[in-house]
Amino acid sequence: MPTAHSGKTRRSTLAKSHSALAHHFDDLGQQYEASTLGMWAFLVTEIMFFGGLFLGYAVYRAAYLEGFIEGSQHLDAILGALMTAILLGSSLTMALSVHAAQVGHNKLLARFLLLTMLLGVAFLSIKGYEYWHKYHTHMVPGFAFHYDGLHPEIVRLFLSFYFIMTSMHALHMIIGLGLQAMLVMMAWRGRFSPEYHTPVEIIGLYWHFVDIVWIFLYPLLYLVG
Amino acid sequence: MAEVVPQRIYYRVFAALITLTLLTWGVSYVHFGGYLGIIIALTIAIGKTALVVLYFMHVRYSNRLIWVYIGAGLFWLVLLVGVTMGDYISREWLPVSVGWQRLNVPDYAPHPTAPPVSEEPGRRPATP
Repeated sequence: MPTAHSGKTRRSTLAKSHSALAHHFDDLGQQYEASTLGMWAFLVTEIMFFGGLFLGYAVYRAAYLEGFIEGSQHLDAILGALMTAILLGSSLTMALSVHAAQVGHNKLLARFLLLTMLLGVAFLSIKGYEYWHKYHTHMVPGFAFHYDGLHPEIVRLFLSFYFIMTSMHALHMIIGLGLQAMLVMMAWRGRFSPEYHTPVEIIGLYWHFVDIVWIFLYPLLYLVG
Repeated sequence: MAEVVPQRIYYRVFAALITLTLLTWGVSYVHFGGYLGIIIALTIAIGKTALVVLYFMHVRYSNRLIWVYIGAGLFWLVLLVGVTMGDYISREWLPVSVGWQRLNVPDYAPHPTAPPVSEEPGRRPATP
């Protein structure tokens, strides 16, 4: 066994006997590479999932641009910009969480993760307010939808895209918050070290991906025309 | 293990992301003709994505196999959107035969909300 990877002498002996090391990996470095690659494979399937939604949106937007512009005017662009800034901020704190994990600072890691979760909850609260406001003004397709405008049918179509795409995005965020809560527990128990912090890294990848989806949703839904 | 990226890089990337968000919001109030507005908005979004992927997601420092995976995902996305939108956008570029257009007139079953068909024999309703 030792001769097989003598080229990797920079790995410490600690990394080969770590409690987090699964038996089918040579060392923590190899395990880390496999985990991140697996996460990226999952994220590629997520690109496909959201790509289909974005494509459906693009086809109907190209066909009914005027109605989509009218529908977009019922979304608050400034509120959307604020949500974008909050989500970008949460990506920053997530990146700083990974940094804290890399330097083995579990307390700081837990704090940055809690800050990330706080920003995520702030985002979802604004989203919830938007949904509530749309429900209140009868602009939720399927729930007593009523709209008097130039293109009521197209505005309903636009809002259907709005609700499906943003709710799928919000669902991903809720899952992300759950995963981050799990990381906070692990950090409080001092589970992470410079040798082993793979869960923080791959949940960070997931969170940044959800951020990227919103980076596209914001101009496409709030800033049409 | 992943390279430890200095914190100041994260702060700079965040500042750039916020700047680009303000830019995309500000530019949306300018009315460009045709496709220019959406092209600018998507270019800014792609730029923001590149910053997030390269720095926050550490892809700049990752091994090449991860680049291959991302490349495969992007290739698929470009194919999906490019080919489909190429079809929808170019459909009206070339004239279609009059016979094909006549087939589209639903004179055999008028839509309930369609204007009443003229009583004159031999007249078709106006194209919807």
